[in-house]
Amino acid sequence: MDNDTKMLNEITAKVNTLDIQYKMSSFEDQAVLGPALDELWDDYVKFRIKLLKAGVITTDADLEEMEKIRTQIDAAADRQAMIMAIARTIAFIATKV
Amino acid sequence: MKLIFHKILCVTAFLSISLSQTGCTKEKAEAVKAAAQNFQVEADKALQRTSLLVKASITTTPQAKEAELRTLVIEIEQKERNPQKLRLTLDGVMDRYKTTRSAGRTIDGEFGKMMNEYAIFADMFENLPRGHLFSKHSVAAAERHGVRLTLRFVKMAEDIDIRPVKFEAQRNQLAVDLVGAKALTDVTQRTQAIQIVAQKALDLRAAERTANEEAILQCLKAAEAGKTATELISNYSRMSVADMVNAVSESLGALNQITGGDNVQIKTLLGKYNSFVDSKIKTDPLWKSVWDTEVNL
Repeated sequence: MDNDTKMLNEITAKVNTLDIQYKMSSFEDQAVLGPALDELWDDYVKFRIKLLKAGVITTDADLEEMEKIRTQIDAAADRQAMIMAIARTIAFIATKV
Repeated sequence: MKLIFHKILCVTAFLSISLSQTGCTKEKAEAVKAAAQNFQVEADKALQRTSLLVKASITTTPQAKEAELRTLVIEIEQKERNPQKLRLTLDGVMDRYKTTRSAGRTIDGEFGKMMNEYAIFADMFENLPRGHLFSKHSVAAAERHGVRLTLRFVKMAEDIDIRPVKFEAQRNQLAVDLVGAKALTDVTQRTQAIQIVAQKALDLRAAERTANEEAILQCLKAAEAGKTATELISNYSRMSVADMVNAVSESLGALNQITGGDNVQIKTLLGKYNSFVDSKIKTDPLWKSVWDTEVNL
């Protein structure tokens, strides 16, 4: 068993123990146990998502670069539109001269 | 004057023709844009499904109102006339299904962020058909992101297969229900109660299996769509329009084939995409670089 699976099993066992205890408790005790259970479910979910992502993280630098590429392509579109407009104008004038 | 205009016209025509001959035609730009948009659609579906899968692992089916009311009345009747203790009892019943609020926020936040990444990816190519003549280098720079975002889904599908998501909270509820059922003194009532819980366990097993399989399949669909988008980006200036159309139709065919089935079929599909990734890592320096620096760190 790899370390990730071992860790997941540990976190799951911990949250399941408290969840069962919570479910079997009186409402008064549930009010006391609730916040700790909320925290453990959050730990469980965070670890589960970390495994699902498998280390494939998009950094701020990646997002910035994607944004930059989009801006460059948008600028290219404007440039192309301008050149096409000039070409059309020249073609029109050429036919008149 | 006329001669000058004709010269400029010829130069402009020459530029347009030579730029389009480098491979960056409007049709190819449209193909890349469509592939990136399709990747976003499939990625959204995969992330939605996987997010629901994780949510299902922490969600408890609420108890029937009558049963809850009965338990509450008994607890209140047994309590002394202490306002603090009675207040705690009321808090307990009122906040009963709020013990997964933080986890729910984490799931929405994390999956929301990932969905946003695919939207940004597709957005990059929104104006490509209008700027195809001057975007060759920008498109090339986007390839790395296509590789990373595609790899994520192959790994995600693999993780769900290796460590299927269990509906933990519902399993816990069944264990608690069994304790209650076994405590019944009347034999007939006890057997009946155990049978009900046992049936629920079998239903839960089927629900877990279906939810995991559906998430794996949708992740693989997203991986297929990402693979195609990345391939078109990678070969934007080299591939002919016909080759691009072929790549897109082949991908659509592959997407249609990912329809589910038994466990063996899912394993076969997973094997296919893992082999694809392995071969890319061996033959393509960019895939290797992304794999080495951004996956499994």
